[in-house]
Amino acid sequence: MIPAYAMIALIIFFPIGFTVYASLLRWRGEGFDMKFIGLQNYIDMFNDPRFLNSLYNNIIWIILYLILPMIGGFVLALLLNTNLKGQTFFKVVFYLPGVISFVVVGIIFSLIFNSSHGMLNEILRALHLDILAKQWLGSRLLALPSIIIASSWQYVGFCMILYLAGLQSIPMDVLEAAEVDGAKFHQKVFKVIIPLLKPVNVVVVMITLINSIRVFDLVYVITHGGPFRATETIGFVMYDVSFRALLWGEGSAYGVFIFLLTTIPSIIYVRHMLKTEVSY
Amino acid sequence: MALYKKILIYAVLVILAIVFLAPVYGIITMSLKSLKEIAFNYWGLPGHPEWQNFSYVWSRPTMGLKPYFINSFKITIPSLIFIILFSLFAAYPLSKFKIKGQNILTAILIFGITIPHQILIVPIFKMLNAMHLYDTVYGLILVHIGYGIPFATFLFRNYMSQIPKEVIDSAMVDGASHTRTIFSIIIPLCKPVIAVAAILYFTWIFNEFFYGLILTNSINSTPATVAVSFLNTTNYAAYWNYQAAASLIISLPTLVVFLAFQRFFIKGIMLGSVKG
Repeated sequence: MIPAYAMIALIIFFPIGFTVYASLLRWRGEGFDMKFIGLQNYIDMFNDPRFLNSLYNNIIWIILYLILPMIGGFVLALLLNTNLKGQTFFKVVFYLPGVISFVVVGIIFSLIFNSSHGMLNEILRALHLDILAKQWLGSRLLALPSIIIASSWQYVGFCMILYLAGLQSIPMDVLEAAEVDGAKFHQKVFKVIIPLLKPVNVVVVMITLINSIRVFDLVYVITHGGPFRATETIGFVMYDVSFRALLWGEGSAYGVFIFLLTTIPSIIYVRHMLKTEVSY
Repeated sequence: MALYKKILIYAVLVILAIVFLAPVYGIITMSLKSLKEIAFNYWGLPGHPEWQNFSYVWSRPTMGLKPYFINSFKITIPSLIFIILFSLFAAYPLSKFKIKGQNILTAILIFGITIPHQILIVPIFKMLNAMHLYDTVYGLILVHIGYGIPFATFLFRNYMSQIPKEVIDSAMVDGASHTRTIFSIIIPLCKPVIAVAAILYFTWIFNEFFYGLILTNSINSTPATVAVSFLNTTNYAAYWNYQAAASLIISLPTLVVFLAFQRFFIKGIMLGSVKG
């Protein structure tokens, strides 16, 4: 038991404490030349248009990420929670992107959204919808939603699996009772299924929030934050400030900010997981 | 269920599946074409499959994938073995004995699952530099172990709490030490959940990008995901066929594991995230 918690202390708790401390320092470049400056890094951060821009992008990411993969996953789970043959096949298909690396997802979607020969524009042109064929990743407006779609492609299967687990725990007789009472399909979904899925919803919403607050990989691979910072998320700026500009104090302030944002969903998640007990 | 309903659901599922798999189809056919063929035969199957695309990205003199691919295995396999070992030993007392602060120790695990990398990475980077572990596979293994333990321990704890206490008590009466009990009783009983953890961690660590990007810097230790990401930003960006081939090569291990063990895989996701 001790080795495991010692490793957690070394790789998780010590770094958290140290980052909090480092965020109060003026600490730049190689070496350990540090000077205590209090909250100055945070004050600078909140006055930095680059930070505010990334915060705005991140909020868009959070909103779209709470809509696309979550609702998509829920609908897929509803479709699959029937006694149809070939369920496993569809489950595997929809989960498949989830086992591919971010890097590969990034490359695939760079090729899909490429304006000259990307798959998306090729399809649109083949359908004589040339007017819809856009510079997806080169446009300040469209680049961020494009990356979010790429990310949703990968993430929707995970939501589906969690919702399926939840749906399968709803006893059949509850649904049958609703049908006997003459409930229509949409009534069944909104009045019976969704309320009963509340525990799963808590988990999916919290994990989705945490994932979208810390998002980095796909932005890095697909657009590197561009065009003109239109796709920079807080997580990406944190990387850029720390490991490109070597501004450790400023980067740590970004890190602490991301951490604080995730603590709210994270605490809800922890409490939820501790409260409900396991049954197999 | 009425027949028309069934047909409707199938139709929707099939259309969605096609949309989902279209990118995969695109990348597979692209990987087997020449650049010229991509231009004039975009959607069709490759006329003459260019298998040499694969051998080229695998073994070309600069940025050939082979050494990076090997690095990924050197990082992934030890990490997942140590994660599982450490976590088994931590989950055992956590699930089987009354210990002080049990709730806090469990909360730490769940909390650890949700930690964003950005709060950890600067000190980890500095720490590995100071320990001379920057740009080594050992450094990355160390980080993956620490970051991976919380989820595995939580998963094992949940699984072990369903093992009847009498089983352990009877071993204790026979005079077995805790270590012996773990090896001779707990591990055999936990085989299914250990398999789940091994599969999940294999995929996660093999696909990991962020730590690989920051904590490595050369052919000595850079994992395949990071090496492939450089293709997108260098001269190779225009060679879609090479990018596609490289993407497929590094997806192969996790895809094979997933398709072979998808039952375990999906169960693991369910067990770890949703309780009850």
